[in-house]
Amino acid sequence: MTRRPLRLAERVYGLLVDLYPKPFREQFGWSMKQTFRDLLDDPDMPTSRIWLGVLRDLSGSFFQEHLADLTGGRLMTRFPLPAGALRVAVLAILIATPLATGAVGYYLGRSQVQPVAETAFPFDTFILNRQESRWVPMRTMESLSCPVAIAPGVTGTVTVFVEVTGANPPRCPSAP
Amino acid sequence: MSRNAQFAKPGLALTAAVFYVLLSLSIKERHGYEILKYVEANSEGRVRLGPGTLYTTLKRMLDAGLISELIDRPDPENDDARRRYYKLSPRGRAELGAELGRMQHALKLAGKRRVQASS
Repeated sequence: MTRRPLRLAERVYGLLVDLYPKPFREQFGWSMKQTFRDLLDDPDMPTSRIWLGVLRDLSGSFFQEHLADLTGGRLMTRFPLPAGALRVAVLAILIATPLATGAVGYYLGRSQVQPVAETAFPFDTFILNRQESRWVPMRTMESLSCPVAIAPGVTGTVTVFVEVTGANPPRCPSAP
Repeated sequence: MSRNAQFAKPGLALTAAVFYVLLSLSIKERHGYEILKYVEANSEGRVRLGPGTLYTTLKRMLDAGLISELIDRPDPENDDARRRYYKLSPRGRAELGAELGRMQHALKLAGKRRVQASS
């Protein structure tokens, strides 16, 4: 018997078959590859339809066999419910994950950390400027040790954060 | 429920794939690709099996004793040495008969009730 070289599609399908559970693969792997070869050789079968069938297989029989392998076949029933339920569960996870992430992002966007979410420096720390009611990023501030009168004739120092801009060189604020 | 017990409850309907596989093997022994083509042609394209779904279905049916693998090869003219052939077991034939009976009963009932299928 002469062996002809495998086509690219056959090699790709061979890799997909290798993803099935070992007992199933050992029993039916060769037959699956042979059936796939027959489909490729069928002139009435469009290639797109063959691959669509393979995708359907992956979403159904692939998970079904792994589930059966894990549970010893206890979830295999007469009805196609496990495969259907599994497909619904996988779809639900695929749809729900970005939705849930979006919902959390939306909630966080509405809360007080909004300035953090909008800045180009996501790891900035912000201080609330109560006089102007706005959040000021720490990286635009400088800490200064400023003298302060604690009691008549007694002075000390206090650390003050001052916003530094071109028009506002760092200096200690004057006492009120 | 074990795999062998999955078809144990009489009176429950078979899945479309299992029904058409039983029907295809009721006529003669076939290999996987022949079954796949028969199912698609005779269900008028409503049931399409990929290789994975086909062999998952065949495995369940083998485990349930509805079909068996042919040990003696079929007629040399039809034999392809590389392939595995499957045949209907007596239990599979009984299941197919029960399913056809259920369908006939449903049709009779629909006829009595003057139910018409929308096309």
